[in-house]
Amino acid sequence: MLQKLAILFAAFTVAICVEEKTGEIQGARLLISKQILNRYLVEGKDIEVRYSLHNIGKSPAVQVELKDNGFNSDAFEVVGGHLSTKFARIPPESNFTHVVVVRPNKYGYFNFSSAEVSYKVSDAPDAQTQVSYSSEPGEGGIVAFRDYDKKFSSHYWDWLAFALMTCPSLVIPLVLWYNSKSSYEKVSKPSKKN
Amino acid sequence: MADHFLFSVLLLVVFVGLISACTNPQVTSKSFTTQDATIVTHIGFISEFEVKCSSGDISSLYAELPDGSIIPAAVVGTNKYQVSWTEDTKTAAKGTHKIRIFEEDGYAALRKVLRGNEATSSVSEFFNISVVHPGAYSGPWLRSEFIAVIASLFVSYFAVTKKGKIVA
Repeated sequence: MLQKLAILFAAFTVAICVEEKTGEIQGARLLISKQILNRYLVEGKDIEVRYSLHNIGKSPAVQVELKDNGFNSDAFEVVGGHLSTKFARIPPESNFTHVVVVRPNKYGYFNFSSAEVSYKVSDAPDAQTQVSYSSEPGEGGIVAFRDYDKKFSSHYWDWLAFALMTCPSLVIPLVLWYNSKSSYEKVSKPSKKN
Repeated sequence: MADHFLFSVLLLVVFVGLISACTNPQVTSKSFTTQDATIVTHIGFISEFEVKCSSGDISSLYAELPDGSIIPAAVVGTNKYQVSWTEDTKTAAKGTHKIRIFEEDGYAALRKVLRGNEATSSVSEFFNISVVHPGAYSGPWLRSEFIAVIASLFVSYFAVTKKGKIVA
């Protein structure tokens, strides 16, 4: 009797193991990368954040929730897209991107942390919920707008101011010369005619 | 008895399908694109839209992007969705980009068409949205230093020729 029970128990555990193993292979598996698509991080200018979601599993990921708590509403303003989204279903072996554009209100170093994703690994009603995290872009320095402008602006106004400042030293001699030239011409012209 | 049961189940399925389908969708959309190509490496296209049905509910939505890829639309609120993608600043075309939105049925039809290597345009969409990209600023057309040099050359040429005439 005891032997039979032991065999039954062994068979049961093996069955569970097999089920878990197949579940692991067949279930959905999301890989998420978070990237900052900027050359420069500038205060008050766009910072483009791209989340790439890859489902490398064999089942669709269901009730996917993507949430990024890394952008504090005090320091960042969301100008395009949403930091907290849901996807009803991500098909197996597919990938796509989600884009959010934020603008920082402050300058200084900022640590871009990872986004959080939770999803059900299959369509089954008793499917387990998996929580995973995206990659971390890491620390980046946000430059003050004044410093950025000094380096990269078109400087049209600066040159216009320079031109205005150099005007007196150029225009005054020109006017003096022109006056004397035209007065000489007035004197010389009638004498030529006569 | 079994036939009766099957029939009623079928009827129920059809009935539920009829009820749940969204009819006469009213779509309001707004789009956002990054317009400063001097600081970003890719242009981000973001479209947010709200769908209101005169009756029924919306199943999950899928979007066909201009490059032909089909992605699930992100749910950002009740009946509010977001579709977004990026393109390289060099290849991103300005103007209106048309996005076709499909429901679950349309998506299934699309998958079938794609498996058969046929054109996806044969599948009719649920509705369309458009994303307008007015073009991105990629630095000044003429550098101010260049204009300043040209202006100073012009002034000095004028001065030197006039002086030459007086001296001669």
